[in-house]
Amino acid sequence: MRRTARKAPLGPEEYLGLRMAIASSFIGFTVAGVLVLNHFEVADAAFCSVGDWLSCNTVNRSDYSVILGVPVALIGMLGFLAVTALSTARMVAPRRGLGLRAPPLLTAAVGAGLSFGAYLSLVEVFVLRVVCLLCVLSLVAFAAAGVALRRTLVVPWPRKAPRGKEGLPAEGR
Amino acid sequence: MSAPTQSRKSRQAGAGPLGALKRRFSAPPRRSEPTRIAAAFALATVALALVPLINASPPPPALGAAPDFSIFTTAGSIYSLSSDLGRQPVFIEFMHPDCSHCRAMGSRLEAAYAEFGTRVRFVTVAVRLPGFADPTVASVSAFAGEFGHGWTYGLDQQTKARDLYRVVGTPTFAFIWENGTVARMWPGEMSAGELQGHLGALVGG
Repeated sequence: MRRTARKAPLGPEEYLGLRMAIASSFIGFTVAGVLVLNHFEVADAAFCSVGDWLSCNTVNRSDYSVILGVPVALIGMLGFLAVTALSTARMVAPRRGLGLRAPPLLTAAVGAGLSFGAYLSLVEVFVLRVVCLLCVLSLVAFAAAGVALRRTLVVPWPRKAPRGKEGLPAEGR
Repeated sequence: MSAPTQSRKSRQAGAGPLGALKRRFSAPPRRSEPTRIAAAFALATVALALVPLINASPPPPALGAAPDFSIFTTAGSIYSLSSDLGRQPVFIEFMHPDCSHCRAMGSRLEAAYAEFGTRVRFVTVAVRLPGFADPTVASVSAFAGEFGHGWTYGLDQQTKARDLYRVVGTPTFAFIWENGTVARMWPGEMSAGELQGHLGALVGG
């Protein structure tokens, strides 16, 4: 049983959730990347600019698409990258370093991403009166990552666990 | 891991390919997994970085021959696209006077006309849209007058132009090469820089 604990310090559902979160983050990272290119007028994203109320160009080049000179889409890319890095660290080494601190950091990252995405969606609907499909897809990717990580996010900030207790030996020895 | 534990996990995951997939993704990571994840993100970043290079390769591909249409102009005459096809590049804006994004494009189009108006034929077609009042000569003339647009404005009363160019919303822009083929269709607003870039490509600048 000691061998089992060393091989799988997390439950199977948490591993599955972490991998799904990484997959969602990959999709979100790519979508946010397209939005960054669109913001800088490198990619036109004409496929999602249809009609009077559905336009990526209008939203992604508005005054609300930049915060302190940094494109919102770029912040989203970094957010997805952070979720991926933390999830990977949690998966590889859950009992040390970044992996140990991943749950609260992931909670903060996903919470911030969802709150910010929700704020921007409200701006789209009530201020700009235009919806950006790629921005919505990006928000959905964040939400999917949050749902996938539900078993990880609820873990409180870790205290230094005494070694050998709870049947979970230190890893990598 | 003992056999009973293994079989219990198998039952939980379910049988068949879906169960096997679930079991595989529920297992602890292999040593190479972080490397593979990093490689996937690096690949996506490289692919995104290639987009500017692909977009920078002129000229944009032709989309086929530009369909001809005729519209009633606000000046009281009839304009046919065929009168310009094959003679000079044409830039068509499909719009509606009540469309806020068409209004936002007004001053950008005026600036573009000042730069390219002598080399590119500008035509604005007011189209009928579901849920909007039908454009009238008065409303379209007022719109053109508000922005000081001096080019041809017309009404697509029979919705022929709208259907031929598959316009589903406004504004939609069509860029037509001098040889009469469509260079690019663009639904939605565009920035002054993009407008200048596409018109510049039409005249080979």
